[in-house]
Amino acid sequence: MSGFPIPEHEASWCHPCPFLSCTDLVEGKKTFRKPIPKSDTIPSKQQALSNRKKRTHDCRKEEKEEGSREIKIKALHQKKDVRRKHREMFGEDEWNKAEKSSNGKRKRERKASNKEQKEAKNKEKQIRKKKEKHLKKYSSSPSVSNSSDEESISEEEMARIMEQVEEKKKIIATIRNKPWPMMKKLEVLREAQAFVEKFEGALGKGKGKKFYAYKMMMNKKWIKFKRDFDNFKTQCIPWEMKIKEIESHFGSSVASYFIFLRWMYGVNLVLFGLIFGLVIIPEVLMGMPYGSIPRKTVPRAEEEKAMDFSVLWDFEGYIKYSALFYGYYNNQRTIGWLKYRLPMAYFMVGVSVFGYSLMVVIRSMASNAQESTGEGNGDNFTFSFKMFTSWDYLIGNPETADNKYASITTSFKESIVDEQESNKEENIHLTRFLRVLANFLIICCLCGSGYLIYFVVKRSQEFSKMQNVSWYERNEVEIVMSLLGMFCPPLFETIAALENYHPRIGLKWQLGRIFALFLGNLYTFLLALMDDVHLKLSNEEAIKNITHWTLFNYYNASMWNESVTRPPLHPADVPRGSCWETTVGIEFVRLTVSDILVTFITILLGDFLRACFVRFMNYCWCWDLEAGFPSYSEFDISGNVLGLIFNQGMIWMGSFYAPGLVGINVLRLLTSMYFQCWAVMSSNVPHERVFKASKSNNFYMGLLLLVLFLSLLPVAYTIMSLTPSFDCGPFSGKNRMYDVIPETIENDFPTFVGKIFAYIANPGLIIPAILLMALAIYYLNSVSKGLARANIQLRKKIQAVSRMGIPSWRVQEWIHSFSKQICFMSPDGLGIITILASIYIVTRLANYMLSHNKTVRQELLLFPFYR
Amino acid sequence: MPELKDNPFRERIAQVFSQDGDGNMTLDDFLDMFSVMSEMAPRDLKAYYAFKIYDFNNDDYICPLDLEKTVTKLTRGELTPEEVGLVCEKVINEADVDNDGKLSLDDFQNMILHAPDFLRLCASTMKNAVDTDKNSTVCPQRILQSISTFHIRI
Repeated sequence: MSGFPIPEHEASWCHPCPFLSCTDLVEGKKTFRKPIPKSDTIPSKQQALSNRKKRTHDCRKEEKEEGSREIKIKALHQKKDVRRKHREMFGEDEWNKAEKSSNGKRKRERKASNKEQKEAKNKEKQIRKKKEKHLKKYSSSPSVSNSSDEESISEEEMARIMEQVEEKKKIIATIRNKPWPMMKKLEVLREAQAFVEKFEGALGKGKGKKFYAYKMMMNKKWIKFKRDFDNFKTQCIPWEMKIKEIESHFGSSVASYFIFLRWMYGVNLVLFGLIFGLVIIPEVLMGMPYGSIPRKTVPRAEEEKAMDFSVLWDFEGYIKYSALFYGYYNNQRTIGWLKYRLPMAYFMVGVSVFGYSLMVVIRSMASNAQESTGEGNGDNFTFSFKMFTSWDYLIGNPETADNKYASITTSFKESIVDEQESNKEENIHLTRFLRVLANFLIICCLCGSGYLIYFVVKRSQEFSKMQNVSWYERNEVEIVMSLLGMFCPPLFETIAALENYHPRIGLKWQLGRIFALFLGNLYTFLLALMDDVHLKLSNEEAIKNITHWTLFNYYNASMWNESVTRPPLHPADVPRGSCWETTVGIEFVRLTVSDILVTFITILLGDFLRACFVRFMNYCWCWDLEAGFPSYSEFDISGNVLGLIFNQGMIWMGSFYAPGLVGINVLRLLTSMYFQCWAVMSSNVPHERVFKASKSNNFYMGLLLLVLFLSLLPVAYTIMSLTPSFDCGPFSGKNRMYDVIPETIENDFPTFVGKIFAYIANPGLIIPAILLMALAIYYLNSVSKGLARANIQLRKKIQAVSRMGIPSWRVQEWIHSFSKQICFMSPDGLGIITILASIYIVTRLANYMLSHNKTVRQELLLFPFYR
Repeated sequence: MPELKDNPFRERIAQVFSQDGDGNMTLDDFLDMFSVMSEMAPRDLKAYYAFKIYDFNNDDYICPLDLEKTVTKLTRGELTPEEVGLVCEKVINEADVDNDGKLSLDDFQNMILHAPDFLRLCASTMKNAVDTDKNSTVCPQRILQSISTFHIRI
């Protein structure tokens, strides 16, 4: 607690308005700028007075306060004992008095504007005297019992003190926003805290006083606990120091990739927890063990090779018949003593994986959009932003700083050229022709790559029927897809040189094309896979018959020998159907693993070995390798981010059929983090054009959202329209996979719940609901447009008003709050659209499921997927 | 501090945060600087201090001379004088709301609060000492903690 007697007029420290007016600025600054003379207090006080020009009486009075404050700061700087000495000098009572009066003065100063200070000061003196009397009474008898104290404090006083306490609390809460130096803030804070502490306990009445004080103390402890917990949470953020180091070397754009990677890791960890805890662990602990039923056992024919590494690497053999894949799970309705409904859990976990990912992505997009408030008028301030915000304060490396200087210079020159040449007439026709040509070439490339993948997948199906396939033929699909992913993007870049776009637009085109490439490849792969699945399904009938006849014959044959009880047929000998879901799962897992390997090898060869080569061969090479051709590589942000997004898309697609896939991805992201951090720091150089990562964040999130939807579609299609295999997986024996839901509703819930669902799924109810949602979208859209218009109006008002000299901070506050509202609207609209789309899909699904008429079922299914 | 070694405004930062205006900082000024530049500092506070940094002649306005000095520091003298003049003129046109030919604090704040990256780029990457000191004002224990860690690191 501070014991230094603060003179009563120290009120100018406490202006509350968040946007400082010029007066604050002037007086605050002048105090700090002038070197404080080393002589003692009184002469310098007068000197300070005479030094500054006084305009009004009020300001003069304030200047005196400034002077004394200046001196006080110096004293505090030099000796802290001075405070203690003064406290002893002035005595306890006087100090209390001074504090109270100064606090009272502070409160009144805030309420009155500068012009009303005079009247306020006159009033002050009277009130101060009254208060002193009261407070003297209070402070002079601390030993008197509580009851007599409270009687002496009147209601008025209580209210006033409570007001002051509230104000002090407000100061404490907002003190971080004040642009004062640390010393001042500490002083004010200590005073405010002392005051609050002193009077807080006293404001309760009678017995309530102790409880009140106790409550306050608990409150404080809670706040302290929350703050410590927040600090602890910050320390728990993984890899924070690594990322900061990368940021200082390479700028914030490269670091944004690693932050994205970390975020992905978190999402995957949650998904892994869901799947592992709710699906894998119950089946492993409570389900039938390995080898007990046919679906969980390696068939006799494959048994001898089941442990070979090459077989395991292809995810056949023992791995195929493990909890990692769909085919292992039993279709028992309940398992274990907990009566855990595994098929239901499997289905719900699959759905909630998508639900959770959707929620997390949209939330992240919304919060990104919130941070950039009032983006609409960003284009108006190009030069100002270039001047004031282009320096990346996170750069801590001379080489990067050099690059940053160069890029700032270039960007200034670019903008100047843009500005000067507004009517630059180019040969429009030539440019257009070249652009059309470039797009045509690129579309040819995309089609070519799509066809190549289709062809290769078809060939691999034929290979799988042959014996003695070489390693290359087995892995042809994955190799071709990875090679395409490696070589097509540079090809696109070279073709794009024809187009002659502005670099920012060119980058967007490039990203869009790479996106189209990956998407096309993935969907072609899926289509080819679907063909394979349908083939397997058509064979199922035949195999079912074979299995039934085999079992029948086996048990019938056993009736001939009554004396020797034959054991039931060993699970490995039962003829098995080809489990198409497990096949699909295996394909996705193999694709993911090969993608991981290709990424790591590319980094190792393309970045690390290249850096080694440039570094060590430079001594004996004709030209300067570091400046010339190979040189060190730059970190390819967009390529890496897109790779991450597509990897996640594959995980989403494959996790329903291979629950272990998410675990593999978690491991991959973990190793990727460490590996890429090391690779970046050791082999890469900062970009020549160091650019900011600001707006790109939402762009990548938008891509992720799109990929999420696109990966939802195939899974939804297979769930809705394909028959599950008859002898493997948790849905075996059902007509459709989602049949598990109506079964659960019938068997486990009371009957009225089933009736409720039937009513909800009625088309008469769903269609009006959809119409209502469409209306809601229209309404929110028009509201947000209206707010944007209001924003523009207010902005114009600011300009008009500020010309008249009225302080504009209030208007600015209005605009600030309006623009915040607007920005809250737009991501909300996007979120609502996505949520509505998913609700539509779900309601269609529910409708389809619960309708019993077959023809109605076919008509209702609007997706063009049925045959 | 490696982050500030290459910063074009490092002298201005030191001047703004020092008590005597000459760049000599006490420990409290040092802590002040870090607290403003940390990620936890509110936007308005950063805007206020950024204004002071760019105001080279300390007259509470960013006049065209200040702008010229800023541009020269940013580009290390690579632009020609005409280009520099053009840039300053464009900045004043864009950001000056009250039309007095120079940027006041209000103009500056109005403009800077629209910048998408301002908040992040002004957050310096500080060592653990300041990362734990999240609230710039309260709790003497926090300050003592950062003082003790400073003794270790500096």
